[in-house]
Amino acid sequence: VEITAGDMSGETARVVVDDKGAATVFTGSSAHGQGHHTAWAMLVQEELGIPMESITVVHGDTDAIPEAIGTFGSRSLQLGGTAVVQAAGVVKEQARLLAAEMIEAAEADLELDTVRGTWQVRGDPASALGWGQIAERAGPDGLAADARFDASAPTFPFGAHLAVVEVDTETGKATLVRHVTVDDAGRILNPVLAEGQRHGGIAQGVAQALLEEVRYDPDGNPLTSTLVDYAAITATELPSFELVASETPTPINPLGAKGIGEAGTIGSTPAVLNAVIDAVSHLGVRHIDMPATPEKVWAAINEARAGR
Amino acid sequence: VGRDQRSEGWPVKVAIGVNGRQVEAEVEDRLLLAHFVREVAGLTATNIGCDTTSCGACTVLLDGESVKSCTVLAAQADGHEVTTCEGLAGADGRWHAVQDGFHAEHGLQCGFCTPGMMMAAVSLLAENPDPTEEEVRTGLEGNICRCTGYHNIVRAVLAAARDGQPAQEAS
Repeated sequence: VEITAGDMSGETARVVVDDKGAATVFTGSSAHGQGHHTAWAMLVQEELGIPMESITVVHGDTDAIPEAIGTFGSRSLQLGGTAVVQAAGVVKEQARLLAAEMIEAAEADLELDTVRGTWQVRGDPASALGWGQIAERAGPDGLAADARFDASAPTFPFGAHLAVVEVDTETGKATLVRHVTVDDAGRILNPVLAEGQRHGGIAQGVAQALLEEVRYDPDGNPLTSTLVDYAAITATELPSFELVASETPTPINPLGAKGIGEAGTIGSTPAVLNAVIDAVSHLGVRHIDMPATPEKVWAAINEARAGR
Repeated sequence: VGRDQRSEGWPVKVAIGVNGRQVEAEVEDRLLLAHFVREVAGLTATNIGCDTTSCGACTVLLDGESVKSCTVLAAQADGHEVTTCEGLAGADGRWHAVQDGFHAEHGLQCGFCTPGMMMAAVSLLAENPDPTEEEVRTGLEGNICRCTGYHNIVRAVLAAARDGQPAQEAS
């Protein structure tokens, strides 16, 4: 179990629809590989019926986005994503008013066809207006809305990790053979992106358990300041991961989403280290400090044997 | 001669084939191939990650074989053929099988390692067109990825092996 979006500082979004019927999302939650461009476009398409290929996501520009918090703490979808949906929701209501004027119908009689991306009088496709026409009517800046979502509480994703490790008792080398995980992040918007977050997290957590360590000499000089000295984990030290799906939505935000970015690192480190110790416990080993490098495992085995 | 070798080095004339185009230039003798590709040939898909031959982000093909271009001098590549990520797609714009594989299997997240990873994969599949998962992992050991846990990268390379022989690179 972890706490996500625990900083409670909210997130911002701005959604603009222009007279070409294209949408631009300005997000305070900047992306560096998590897939926000895809995810935010999916959310806007779902809300407004504007196709993903007509949606641009802008981030990381303080000229365009004056107020933003950022991407950390497994917070993006639940806070930034919700802000995007809320801004899109405001744009939708602005459009409903304008469409009512243009079609000369009552607002309550209008519906948004999210498959075709058009507004129409309920049951009358002949009255349909496209997003571009409505945005043109709105004026030179098109339709635009800002939103800020502050959640009432953090969320608590949960999961379980099982690691199978082999230890060579002659060399002390521990090898991760299988890694099976369940990580429940609530409602999943995009399974491919969510799995990618889990894969990367698992690898980082395994690396912390087996290899990676920032070391200093007694005078405080860093000894691991390049990738020559720091053992970043590689493809040969990892198996393919076995992921089990589980979705328990949270009531804390309208998406039902809990954080996923850190789930992999949280479960995998203790699972792998416990598996290493379990593999050599019959030799009398009870404890190994991370990372369980061959040197440390070999020393622990020899100490345990000598202590008998 | 009046030049201080240690501070400025000697100018060297090189002619290097880059993705089938001949690039001729007078460069410093110490110029690395990675910098030649980015700054002289103007192709910036090749990333420089570590400068210590550890991360593989700068992997390119030299006469069809993968090398880390931060550890090859431009002068050493004189008269040879270099292929970068920009040179993978065919003349008709069709993607290389490895590009298709990375796209289909979501074999990337932030994308920094991707060009080097794809070039390493192309070289691997040229040597071993039908690798096992273990052989793919061993073949990519010199390329570090911090986002994907390698899971989808390995699947991407296996998919590329299944879906088509990679095009023969210039040699």
